[in-house]
Amino acid sequence: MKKISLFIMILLVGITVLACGAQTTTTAVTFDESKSINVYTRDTTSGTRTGFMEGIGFASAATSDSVLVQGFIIKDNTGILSTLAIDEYGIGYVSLSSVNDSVKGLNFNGVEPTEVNVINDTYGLKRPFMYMLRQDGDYPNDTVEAIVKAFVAFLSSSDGGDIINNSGAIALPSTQTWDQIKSSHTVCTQNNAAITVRFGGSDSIQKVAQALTAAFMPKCGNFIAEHDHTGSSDAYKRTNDPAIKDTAVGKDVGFSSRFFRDAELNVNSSLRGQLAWDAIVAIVHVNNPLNNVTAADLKAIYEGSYLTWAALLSK
Amino acid sequence: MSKNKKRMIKDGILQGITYLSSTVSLITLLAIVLFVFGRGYKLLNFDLIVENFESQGYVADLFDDFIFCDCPATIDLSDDFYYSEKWGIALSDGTDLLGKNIIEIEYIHPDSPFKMVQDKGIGEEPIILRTDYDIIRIAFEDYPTALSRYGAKNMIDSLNANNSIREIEFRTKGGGVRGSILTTIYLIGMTLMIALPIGVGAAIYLNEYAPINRITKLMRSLIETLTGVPSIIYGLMGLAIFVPLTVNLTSATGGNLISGALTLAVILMPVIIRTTEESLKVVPDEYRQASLAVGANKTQTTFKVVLPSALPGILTATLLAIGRIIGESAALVFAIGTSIKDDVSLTGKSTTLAVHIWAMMTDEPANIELSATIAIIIIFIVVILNIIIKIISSRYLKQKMGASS
Repeated sequence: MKKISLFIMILLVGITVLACGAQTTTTAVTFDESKSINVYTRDTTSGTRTGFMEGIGFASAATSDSVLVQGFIIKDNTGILSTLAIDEYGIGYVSLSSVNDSVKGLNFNGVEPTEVNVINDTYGLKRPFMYMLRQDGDYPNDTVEAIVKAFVAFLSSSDGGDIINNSGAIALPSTQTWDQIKSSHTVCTQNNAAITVRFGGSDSIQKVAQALTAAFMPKCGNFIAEHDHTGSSDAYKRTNDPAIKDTAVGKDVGFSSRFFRDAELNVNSSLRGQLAWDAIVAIVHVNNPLNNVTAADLKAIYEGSYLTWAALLSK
Repeated sequence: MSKNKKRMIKDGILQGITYLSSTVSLITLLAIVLFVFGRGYKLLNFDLIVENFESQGYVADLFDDFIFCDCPATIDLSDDFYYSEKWGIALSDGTDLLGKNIIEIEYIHPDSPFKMVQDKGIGEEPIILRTDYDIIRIAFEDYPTALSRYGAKNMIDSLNANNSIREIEFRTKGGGVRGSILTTIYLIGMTLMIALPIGVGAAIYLNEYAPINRITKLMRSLIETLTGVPSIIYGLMGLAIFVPLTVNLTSATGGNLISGALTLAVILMPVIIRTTEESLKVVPDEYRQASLAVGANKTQTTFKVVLPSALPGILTATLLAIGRIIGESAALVFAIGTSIKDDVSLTGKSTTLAVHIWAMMTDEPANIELSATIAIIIIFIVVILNIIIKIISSRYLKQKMGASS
């Protein structure tokens, strides 16, 4: 009796394992063009989404979900990457620094998404990395203000540019090294180990910002950098919005992964600027035969004019 | 005959179902453990446990009077290392604890100009370059900077092509979970200190003193309900009550370990009360009667006879509680916060191991490898705790047996 049950059990387990095995092996076949396109997007607070939608000429979709194709799926950066490694009929977009071999990055308007092409301005689908400071004299103390000003100077030096490039973003061209300009920032020659500078804003920039502060800390008296990144719109709110800037979440430097807009532009232009570019890449599953898209193609997909892959591929 | 056969088939099916369900659960659990180990074993090493999360960065320059090494390596270097005879330094490509590509210093010749470098920051002392540092970049005059993302070979080639450097940036490894392990231990200690006395006390009252009436029953069913309340609701309560309370009473400025411990204590109380009560219930009534018969009063009986007999049960409650503390994340995200810290203080923010995983997974991009590695550490701690509790309770039982015989 026992033996029979054991046999049945092994048989059942075997079937289950076989079924699982069969399922995974049969997926790697031909691409079915008649399948509809699964559209993935970031949510409306994302700077990547703003950069992407503005880049493809569909700016109204940057802040509104209702203009998008029906049945679109909202995921975060990691979610889009991991889903498109599996979903053969999906399309999404991520930052160039996140693209890896598990997905296929598409050329945009015939230009390959590479760092070289972003710097020489041929690759069009990109977004800026911006910073915003508090008003002069509105810092916890003068030392913090001096360190923040020195940090901004460091951002535009070639040493800062090295760190930006090393973290996967693309720095603006610069000629001066930090060694050449540090003499005008005497705050960096003193011990600042007791000073905490608060950084916040876009979470897409967090990795870059952390690398920058980590590199700048030993250059400027070992001050302490506190990072709390919550989204591009907090770059303005937490540094300059009177209702928020003096609360516990107030920041000394805010980062944004899109150009500043509306009320944010009221801040004096000397207190904000760009530190880098980041390219956005449209990605599909590796089995997808598509290699190149145009801005119009992407707009057609995201607004719902192309519903199946055949509509795009047969064009 | 046919009746017998029918029964045999029926029995067989029922038996088969139990076999099948136990196999399914075993396979599921094994799959989880395998997944965690498969993803996480690569990053698992002792450094992870003792290292700080924040890495300490340095910027330095060579001394002005340095001389080239021009020396072959004195030890055998692996084929993956790139060695520069001119500078007497060997580098290799590696990954840090966060899974990012870095350049590791593998060997420095005793005569290398990199053996001791000049601090370009505010430090007065020269820095001795050690093999546990990572190089971030080496900058030259009028030559492209060698960045860590271009790899060790590029860095050695750049060094060989130049006769001096402008600056070198390096850092300690970082990415470790020492702070989170400390926080977890702190929280376990503080939470148990708060929750155990209250929980055990309440259980003793409910089982030994409380009159059997409607109010007691209501109290018991309320406590039972609390066990099933999702922990994130307790987290909200912690944020609304304990965080302001601790901010007012201590030097804390936001979520802190004390508010976290208080929140966890509230989560654990129902569990502790329930388990302790169950263990008090199974203490034979003869013990109580015997104790009373030799002249002990009710309080003496309860605390000196009944409570010690229920100790294995209380230990089980403690184990369950510790398991819950280690595994809790949702409530702590609210009650403490998610900033990973190396300097753990009772009034400051920091993360437990579970919240550390949460913070790693909400990073862009999510760090699944490191999360799985931390999961291995958590599983390991839980297994060790299980074994310790088993040993303690079996020792205790033996002692008791010995004493009574």
